[in-house]
Amino acid sequence: MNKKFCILAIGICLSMTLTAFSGCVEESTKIELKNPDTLVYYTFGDAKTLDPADAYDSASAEGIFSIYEGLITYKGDDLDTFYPSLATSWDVSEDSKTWTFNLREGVKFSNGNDFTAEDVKYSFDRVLTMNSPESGVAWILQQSMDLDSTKIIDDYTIEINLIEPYGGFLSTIAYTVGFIVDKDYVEEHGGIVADTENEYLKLNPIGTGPYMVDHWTRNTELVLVQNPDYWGGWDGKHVKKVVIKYANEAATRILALKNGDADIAVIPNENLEDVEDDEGIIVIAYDSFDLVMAEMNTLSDNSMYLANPEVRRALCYAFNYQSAIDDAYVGYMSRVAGAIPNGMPYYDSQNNGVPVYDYDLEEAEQILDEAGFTLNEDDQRFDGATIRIFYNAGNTERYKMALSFQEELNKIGILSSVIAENWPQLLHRMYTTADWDLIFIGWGPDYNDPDDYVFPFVASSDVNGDTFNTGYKNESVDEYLLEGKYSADPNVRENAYKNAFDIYIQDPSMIYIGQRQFIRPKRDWVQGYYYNPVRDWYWYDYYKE
Amino acid sequence: MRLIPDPPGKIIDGEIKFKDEDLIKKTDLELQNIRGNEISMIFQEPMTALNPVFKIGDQIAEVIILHESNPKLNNKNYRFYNKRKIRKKMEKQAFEKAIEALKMVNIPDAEKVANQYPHECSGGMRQRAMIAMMLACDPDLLIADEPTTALDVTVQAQILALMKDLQKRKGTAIWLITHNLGIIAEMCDRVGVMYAGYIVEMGSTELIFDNPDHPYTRGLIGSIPKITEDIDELEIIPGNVPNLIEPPSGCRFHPRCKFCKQICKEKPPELIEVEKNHYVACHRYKEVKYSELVDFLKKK
Amino acid sequence: MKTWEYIVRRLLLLIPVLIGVTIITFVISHVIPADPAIAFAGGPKAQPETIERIREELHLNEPLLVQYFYYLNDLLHLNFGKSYLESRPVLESITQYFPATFELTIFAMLISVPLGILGGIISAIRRNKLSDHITRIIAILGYSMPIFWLALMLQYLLAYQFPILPLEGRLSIGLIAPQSITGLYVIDSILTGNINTLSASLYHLILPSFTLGFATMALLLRMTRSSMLEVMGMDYVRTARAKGLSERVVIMKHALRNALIPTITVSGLQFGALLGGAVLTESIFNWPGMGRFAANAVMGLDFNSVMGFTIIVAIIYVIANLIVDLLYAVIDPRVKLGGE
Repeated sequence: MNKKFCILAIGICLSMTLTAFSGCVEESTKIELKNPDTLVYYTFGDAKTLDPADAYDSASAEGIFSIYEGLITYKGDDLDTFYPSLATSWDVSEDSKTWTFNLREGVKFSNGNDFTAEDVKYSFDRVLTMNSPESGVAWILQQSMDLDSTKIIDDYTIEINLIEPYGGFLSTIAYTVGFIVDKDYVEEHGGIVADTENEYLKLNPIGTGPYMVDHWTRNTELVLVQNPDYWGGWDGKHVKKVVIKYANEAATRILALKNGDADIAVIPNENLEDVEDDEGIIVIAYDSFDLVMAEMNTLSDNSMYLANPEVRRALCYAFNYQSAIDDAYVGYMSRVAGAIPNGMPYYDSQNNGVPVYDYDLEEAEQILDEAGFTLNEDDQRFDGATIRIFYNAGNTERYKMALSFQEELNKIGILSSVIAENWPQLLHRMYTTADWDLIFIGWGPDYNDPDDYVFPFVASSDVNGDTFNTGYKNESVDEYLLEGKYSADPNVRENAYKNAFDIYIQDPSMIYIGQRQFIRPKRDWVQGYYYNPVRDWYWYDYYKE
Repeated sequence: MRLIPDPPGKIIDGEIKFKDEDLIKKTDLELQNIRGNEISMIFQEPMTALNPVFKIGDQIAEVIILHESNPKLNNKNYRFYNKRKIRKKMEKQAFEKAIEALKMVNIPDAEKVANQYPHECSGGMRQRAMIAMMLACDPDLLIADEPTTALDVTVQAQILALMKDLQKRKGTAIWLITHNLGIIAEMCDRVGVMYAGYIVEMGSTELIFDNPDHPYTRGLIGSIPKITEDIDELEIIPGNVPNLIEPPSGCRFHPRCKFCKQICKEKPPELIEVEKNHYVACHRYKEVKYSELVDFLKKK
Repeated sequence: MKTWEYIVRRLLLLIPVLIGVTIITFVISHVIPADPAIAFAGGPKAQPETIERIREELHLNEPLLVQYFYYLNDLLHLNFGKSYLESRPVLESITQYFPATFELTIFAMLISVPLGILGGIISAIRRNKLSDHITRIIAILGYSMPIFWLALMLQYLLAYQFPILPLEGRLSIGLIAPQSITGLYVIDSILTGNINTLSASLYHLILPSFTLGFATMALLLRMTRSSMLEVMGMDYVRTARAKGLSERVVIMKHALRNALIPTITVSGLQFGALLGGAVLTESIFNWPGMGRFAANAVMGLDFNSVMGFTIIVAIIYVIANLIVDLLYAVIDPRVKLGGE
């Protein structure tokens, strides 16, 4: 009896140990290409809406960029030129306020309706009227257009009169917010209601783009299929079906990529080494326009130290940028010189693209001492006041940076506290209280123009800037930024941004930490892939073999 | 009936003769045919002996169906559906018979009771139902293990009267196990006295009660208080029931016996026929008989 | 009828329970000074008018008590508020996720109940023999293995290393769900005659329901075993044998029926618990059910979703308890509803 039991127990233990070691076995089998006509992309985070007038998150853009189209578009990773899409040609008046677009003829929406200038006017007006109740994306068009802006000249010609000559105008309509919807279709399904979401359009998009929605199971998958009547045609190699699968667990996405179920997958930086060495998986990093920054509250109620520009400059020197790159972002980040990311126009207007601040604790201490904030008997500055550092809960990168910064500050005698808060809470704190000193934030591109970056960060609230509520206000900077915003002349703009930069970098309201890299590990059979920082995915250009 | 499971109980030796057949040699299947059918048993605790989740009538009907199976049910030629019909009919008939059985044990309103659950009936009713259940198939032998010990005296009298009546009517042999000498005297034709697992005396009721030849039996009967006598102290059997795991050597009664001699400690006595219909297992039965006579004369 | 009275009475008790639950969750989620309006309006890029409008809509400017009554009023109209994570009404999310969990629970129970009871019976009747030891070891494995470990191991071994089963989800990649009648893919597939989705959904159910079933089987096995052992020593089992019934009938009819009483009630409660969502299993297999929904909502601090989920689970528990009590009365004739 006992003997039998022992044998049994040993047998079970052995089999479990063997199972545990099975993972060490090298994979000798090569994964075969599955589903040659379907591209499968594993990501996390469901799209919020497929209505271009109210979509502002990247997950929604994944679908919208291939379902709808705008007047102009990008090709590949070329950020310098705009290519014709629904407009075949365009030009602008002398004063840069009136744009005329000649529209493409013979284009149909995927429901068979014809595309005409009416749809264009309808789409733009819709954005302005509906006012994007869910996402607030309408501001992008509202900054330069109003309901009188768009004029129909004839069926295939449209004229847009800007309120002010906005320098980045073309970039704005190349973003999803400027995409064209079918007037008849929308009118049939709820029309336009001010400040209200259109439930039907959210779930049932009909566009002119190369793909249509086959089905969208919320939080499970979004499946796009070819639009057979697409005006661009289907010559050449294009993937016929796109499945965007949502899986919140990183482990699931990693396994899916490894076994070929996923052609492309979103994998956290820490896990990239798991897939890098696999045969058949390619990992390439591209510079994105995603900025990593830490904002400083110039109006902080904490002894008002941050009101002093010298203190903020010292903080910029105290930050360990390399450690942020190496530890928090596992090497997948590069330094950025200022508010404009590398790759965007006028990047070099920022100290020729060279960061002004570097990690230099001695310099930081010197600045503080000279400004009169010396160490007291307990080796603390600011009389022991703590700098309150916040980040949004769950973001491990920001968490690591916060902790590391705390250590560095400690070395120069500044006490700090690191607190995590969930996003809505943090927003509340940022906007309605002065109860914070430093918050780690990020920013992604809405469209390819430096105005999208510099203005929200550095312009003051007087001119509708200061999106992050730092309280920073400098009239000269505001002047320059407005100049850069409302000019279409590249020289004027470059100068304006340079001048603004030279001022604000010496009175920084942000620590400009770095520019993230965009990595989407993919299987080697995915062809045609390129990375465009303002248009993450355009499925039409990809195919598998 | 071989109801005691193998651990902890084991049959080492001997034979059980029933109708000239050794029950020990029977297979499980044969035993199942015998139980409830030819040999039935009722137990001491009527409160727990019936299954609480089935109706009384169903439990009785179960044993009826079991032992009076319809050959058609086992016949492969009959379709499933037909078999179902046959089965349904059988069940209905069996239930009717169950009600009859309940009537036979004098349960008032038998049909209502048959549709009730055991917890809805009193102890006396449950014991009656048990009897009905066990007698439903007209067994040749009914074993009754302390059937009235858990019931109060009036119910006890009713149950005993019932058993006697049934026995007369059906001719079932009843094997009554009890510690109550009064019941034995009233009910039994023959008596077997057991001590520490062995039969020490056996015979007809009158002989055992009038002339007990075993010291133990004498002690038992002697300790009955007689309503006609007037005594201050009751007679007792000194000592305690032995530990059966390590029983006394020789005659198991010897530590408590006033007639004990050396031979009693060494050799277990065998059952000897003392007179017709009277067996005793005692080395010293003659002396016991003699002292009996002396006592009898003394009383005179 | 007495039974209907009882059911109605119990269901009425649901009301104070729900009020209690909503008060607690409401207070907890609103005591934190987070203003969800900004997040709802789209974050830092939102216009101030939008934020103010949303504040009005959500009655955030009113005192807490008034907000609570608005919330109760909404609940009565089945408005659980909007999930800021999923940007759709919480009720819609729950309606999508609940059938998925329900389906998974049913299949998990289909595994755990028969295996658990069967294992318990074998274990009891062959006490201390080899089969008893084997079943008990399996049971120990069942409840000592952390469920996420089991899920990950199974996923790794059977969906990756030896890819014979699907990795995640309810259906194959890109396959559209069958027309929704009940929300249970297997049943909907049968009802609409869709062979593709029928085989895909069954195929995808294997790993997650096995994972869940294995863990819950252990409990049932232990319960059945000890219950059977107790029952087999009862007098009425002896009576059944004395009647001449075969051992099989004695065990499977007379003993089992009594032994199952506690087991069935525990299964009922377990069913209710599983309906609340098997968080780990669902997260690992990316099963779009209540558990995964709850986990995401809690981690993302999506308060409306958390409250909606809590209320639904409270309702499930109350109803599960009610059904279990009713079952108890049905199985055991000694039990009277409504107390003595």
